[in-house]
Amino acid sequence: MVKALVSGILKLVIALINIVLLPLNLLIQALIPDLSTAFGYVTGFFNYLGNVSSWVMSYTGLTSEVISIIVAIIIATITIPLAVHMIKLVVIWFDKLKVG
Amino acid sequence: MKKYYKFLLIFIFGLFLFIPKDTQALTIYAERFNDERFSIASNDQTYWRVFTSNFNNTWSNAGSGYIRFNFSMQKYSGSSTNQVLAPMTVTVGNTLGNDFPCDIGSTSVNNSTYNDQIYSAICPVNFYNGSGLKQIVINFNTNTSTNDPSYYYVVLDGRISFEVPQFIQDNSQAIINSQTQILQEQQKTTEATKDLDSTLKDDTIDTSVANDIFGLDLDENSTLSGVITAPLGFLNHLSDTCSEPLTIPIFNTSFNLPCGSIFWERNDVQAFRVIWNILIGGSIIYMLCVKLFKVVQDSLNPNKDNFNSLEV
Repeated sequence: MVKALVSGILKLVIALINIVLLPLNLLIQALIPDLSTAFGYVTGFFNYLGNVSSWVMSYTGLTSEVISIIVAIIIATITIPLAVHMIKLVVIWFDKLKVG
Repeated sequence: MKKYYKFLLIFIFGLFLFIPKDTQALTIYAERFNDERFSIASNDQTYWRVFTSNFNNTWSNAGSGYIRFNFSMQKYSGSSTNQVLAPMTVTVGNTLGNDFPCDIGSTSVNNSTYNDQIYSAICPVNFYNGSGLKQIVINFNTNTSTNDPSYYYVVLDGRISFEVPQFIQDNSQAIINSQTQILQEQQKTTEATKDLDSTLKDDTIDTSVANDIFGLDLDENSTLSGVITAPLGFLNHLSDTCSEPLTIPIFNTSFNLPCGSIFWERNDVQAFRVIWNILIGGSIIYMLCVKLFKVVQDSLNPNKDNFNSLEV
């Protein structure tokens, strides 16, 4: 359940990023196809790391539940400062808008 | 203060009203069979029976209960004018037909204690429905010698009574029903817990719907978004189960490195794995939680940022 929740959240975030960057992706694919190939290598490297990571984690002896909790905490640690920072930016922006 | 006294009095009165009555303290006898007198002669082994007809056939309820026997006896021996004390043996509880499987053993009466001796015993019994012979049989053995004329006129004058507390008889089935209900509720709770447990451990829940929310193909790796989301994908792969060995191609040869499950999924390692998870996993999670707390604290600390979050 924890794993499914984390996986769902990550996929949702990935989908949101894809939406935001969709015009840019289309532009790069159309205008700079070689850069797309380079992006493919980078993504492939991370995918390979992902495959290796499951093999490495299998040797740690930790169960998938423990690993899922660890991943969830890591995601929260990364996400919370970002979210707080974004909220602060919005408030600053709104404050300046109000002053103007 | 008067108001509080009044409230206190009402409270105490209410307590008396709502104190549950101790039903077990009340013993109401549903059946009582008293003062059945009998006598036997010396040099005789006889028995005494109590049939269900003597109870007006009211013992038709099935269930478990208890019977309390009380009997006393006097024994006379010798002639009617010259009574002599004599030993004898009384066995109570030998049953006929197993209607009342109750055995309280034998009681010997000697010369010094026989007179008006009152014997009492509580026996667990089972009550049965339906027809058939239902009786209590009590054997008496005067155990006297036929060669001794002085014991010829031994007479046992006894009386017996027994009683069945109504509480036990009437509530035996109710107790069984309530216990059955408790067991059924416990079974439901156990099944619900198992269901919840299996749900928590279920990693096969389909989350592919998240991919289809926006109708996008997320397998496009050759895009800028693919690069940005690659670390997220890596994090997602961390909790994947290693299902196939890692293959490393070197020159024309491929080396297969088996998964760690070949060691960690052995039956003799499972107990150690639990301890290992507690020690290592618990330590890592603790450190991450401390770091998370620090991150949250720093995020809300106005001194760490130019923006004063307290004004927010």
